[in-house]
Amino acid sequence: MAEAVARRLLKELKDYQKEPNPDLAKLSPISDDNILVWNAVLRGESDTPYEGGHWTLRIEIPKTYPIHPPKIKFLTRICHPNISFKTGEICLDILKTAWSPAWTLQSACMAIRLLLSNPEPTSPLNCDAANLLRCGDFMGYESLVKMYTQLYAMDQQENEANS
Amino acid sequence: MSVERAESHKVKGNTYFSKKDYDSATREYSEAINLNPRNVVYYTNRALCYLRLKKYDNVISDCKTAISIDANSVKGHYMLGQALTEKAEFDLAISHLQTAYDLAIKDKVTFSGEIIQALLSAKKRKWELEEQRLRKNESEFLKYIKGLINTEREKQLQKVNQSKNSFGSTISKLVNLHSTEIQDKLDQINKSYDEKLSQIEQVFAQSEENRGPKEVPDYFLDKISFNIMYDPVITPSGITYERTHLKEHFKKIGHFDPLSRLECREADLYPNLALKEAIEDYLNKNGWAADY
Repeated sequence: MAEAVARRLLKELKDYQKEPNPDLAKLSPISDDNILVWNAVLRGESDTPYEGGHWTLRIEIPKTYPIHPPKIKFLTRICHPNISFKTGEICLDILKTAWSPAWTLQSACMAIRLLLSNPEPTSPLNCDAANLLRCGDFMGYESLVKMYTQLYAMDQQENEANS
Repeated sequence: MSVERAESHKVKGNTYFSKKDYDSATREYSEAINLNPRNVVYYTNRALCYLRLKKYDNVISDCKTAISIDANSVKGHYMLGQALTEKAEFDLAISHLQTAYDLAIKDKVTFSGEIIQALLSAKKRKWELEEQRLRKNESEFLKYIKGLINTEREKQLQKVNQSKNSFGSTISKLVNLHSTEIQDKLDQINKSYDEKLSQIEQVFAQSEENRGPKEVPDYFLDKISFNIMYDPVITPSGITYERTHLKEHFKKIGHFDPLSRLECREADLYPNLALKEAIEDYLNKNGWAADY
């Protein structure tokens, strides 16, 4: 069945290359000899504290994909209630219980991007960020996020991803 | 007694097989067959060894024996189809693989996906062979037409040259004046025939391009594997999937339609016959797409 995974992933790669997604600066396997590990680069949404940032994601695809979901985590540090600041782990239902084979790597990345502007402070992986939101300190939250975006996700990240 | 001894040879054969020692495994299975020639498994196991060793004639004979003992042997039909594909017996191969697939669905065999793959690859190789023949015919035809055009060009050129010679003999003084005019004429003839040649080459190139790989329309692709469908089934939500992959999703994840997320069970599925026909028709014209 390993061949079936490769087939589907090649098709996904072709689809992305044919119609590049402006919100996703990169989506491709990290090397030619292993199609089961990909990198993606998310662009932060404008008019959010993530604007201007570029985050690299590491995507590990199980041999049983797309029946089972890919494992996705942030390599670039990010400040978000549902993403671990230390490990980059993401808490998002579609990557776990709500996965369906109709999702693709691209749509999963877009769901993660959507999560950035729609945090769920009730199931936090980053309590500091979640607490600010829970006490309604939106100003404090935004400036915290902005600071980390500038600290970790500006300029040099894109160069790194392109090299 | 001999039945038990046969079983012990089979077990040894399986051990060799898992170590990829196919020659030794073959020997053990042969012993088992000698002791008990009525057990299908011994034949299909040995056939798998032969398949790995690329001894396709042996695969064919073992699978035929297996099928003669048990006409419903999925593995027998499956491997027979694979071996026949290698021997370029595509029509027969496709028919056995189809039988294997139908039996696999009935018996809930786990490798129905692999059978479809073998089936599609047999179809593609059949198409490639026909394509090769067609291409050869076409290139010969092109050569022939180009020959005709060049013969005609020579004729026209000769005519002009002849008139030049007759001029030359009678009014030799004016030859210099005429020679440029004649050269112009010759150039014109050459140019017009060169154009004809390039046009005809274009027509042939176009026809080749039309048959070559393009993009398969998304509506022929399974929403799970992104592969072209062989046995499309439609869910109560009206969405079509490849049966094997949808069943795997039911088994491993849950009984819902992957796209609409509405509850859906195997009993709710209907074959999408119209789409199956459309795909078969498409594959007949675009054989490259079978193993896309």
